[in-house]
Amino acid sequence: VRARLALACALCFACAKAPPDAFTVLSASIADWSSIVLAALPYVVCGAFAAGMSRRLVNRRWRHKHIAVALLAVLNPGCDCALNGFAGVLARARPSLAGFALTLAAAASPASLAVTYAAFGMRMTIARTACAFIAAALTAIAWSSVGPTSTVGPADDKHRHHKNNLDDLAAALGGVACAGAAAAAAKAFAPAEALAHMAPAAAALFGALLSPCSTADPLLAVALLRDARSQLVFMLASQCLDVRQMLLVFRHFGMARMAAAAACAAGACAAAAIFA
Amino acid sequence: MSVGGALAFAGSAAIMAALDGAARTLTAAPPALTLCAGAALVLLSMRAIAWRAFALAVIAGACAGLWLPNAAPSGPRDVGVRAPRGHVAADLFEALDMLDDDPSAFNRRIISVSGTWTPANARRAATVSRRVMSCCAADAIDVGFDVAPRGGARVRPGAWVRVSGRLHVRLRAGDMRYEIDDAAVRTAPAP
Repeated sequence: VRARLALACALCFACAKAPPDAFTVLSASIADWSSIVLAALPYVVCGAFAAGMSRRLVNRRWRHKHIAVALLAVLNPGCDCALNGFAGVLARARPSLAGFALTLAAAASPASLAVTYAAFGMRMTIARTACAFIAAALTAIAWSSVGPTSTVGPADDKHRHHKNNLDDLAAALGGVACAGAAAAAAKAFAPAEALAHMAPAAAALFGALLSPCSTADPLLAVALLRDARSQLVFMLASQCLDVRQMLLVFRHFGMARMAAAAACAAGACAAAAIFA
Repeated sequence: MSVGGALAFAGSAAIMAALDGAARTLTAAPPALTLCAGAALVLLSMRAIAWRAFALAVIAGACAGLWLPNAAPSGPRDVGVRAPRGHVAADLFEALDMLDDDPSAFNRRIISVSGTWTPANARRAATVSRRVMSCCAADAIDVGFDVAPRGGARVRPGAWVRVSGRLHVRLRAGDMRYEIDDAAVRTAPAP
């Protein structure tokens, strides 16, 4: 009761003493958050259906099934939101394969490379692909030596299968909603003037908080940042080091592998900043 | 709220957002896609929870979806000068493309472009810009021109305008900016 009373008092005080632009900023932040969730929704649902189908594939006795799922994840024509579906299935694959596929699919999916080419041209596209490979290879190496994976039990009956799908969907949407909140807050509070000449490290942090869609990060980079290294680091961090990807990895692979993936992505970002 | 309830809420909100136009304003995807995804969520959650909880979640989601058009995306903040490739046909984008190829393309010439009007404030000049949305409103970008209006423009922020004037290339804080000087600003019908 006390906590609710304190919250009510705080809300009343905030409403009474709100700065003049506060409601405009709040409305814009709600619009930004809603737009992120609405835009991700079709991909998340498609990803969940793809995951349902890949679960059936995994339950069959086929030797290369996990490689097929990893290939499907990397070559999926949608945006990185669809990875929410594939992650559940990849959690049963070899850790190195899962880490490689998830990182590469996030940072260098066909759609994101096509938009990068349209926004920057061939050189930046090659740099992005190379850095994504570095991040994916580092993650694969790290995951093969870091803690056991948290596997999902086999979907052996119809009810459990349905429940798994629903849980996957809800968890994926929850992750998108959390990442959306971080992105809306980052956008509301980041001063636009400071972005243009941002250092690569700051660009990485901004990209990680903003967690834009993989088809949108090249356009944001070209519009907001001036330095080529910052642009590359921003794009990489937006996909490999971002809140959305970290939540996804945490849900399916646990804290240790999330930390390993973050460290590897940070290493790839540093390589991009030094050698690009 | 249970998993099924949360999904029913989200699905119902998405369906309403697709029907009331919020999805069209906030995302680049066709509203039909949002509608189908929302419908799939509602159908899936229907089997997972009791009818009463389901109905409550759907009604609450519909209310949230109906309210969404009231949440206005932020206006242009940092207007860029490079139009993304593969844009739609528009005078403003074409002018920026020509300037990108040759910054002296409009030297001493009158330029006329249309876009959204943002008045000047203490930190930046007035601008005429267009929004490019590749995914959603959160990662949309604005590109356009700085404007120095002739005799002060009395146009409300966010209005669709046609701006005509002489183009100058300026450096501001190390960035190249294109400014339309002595500009006539008139409201115009939105495309």
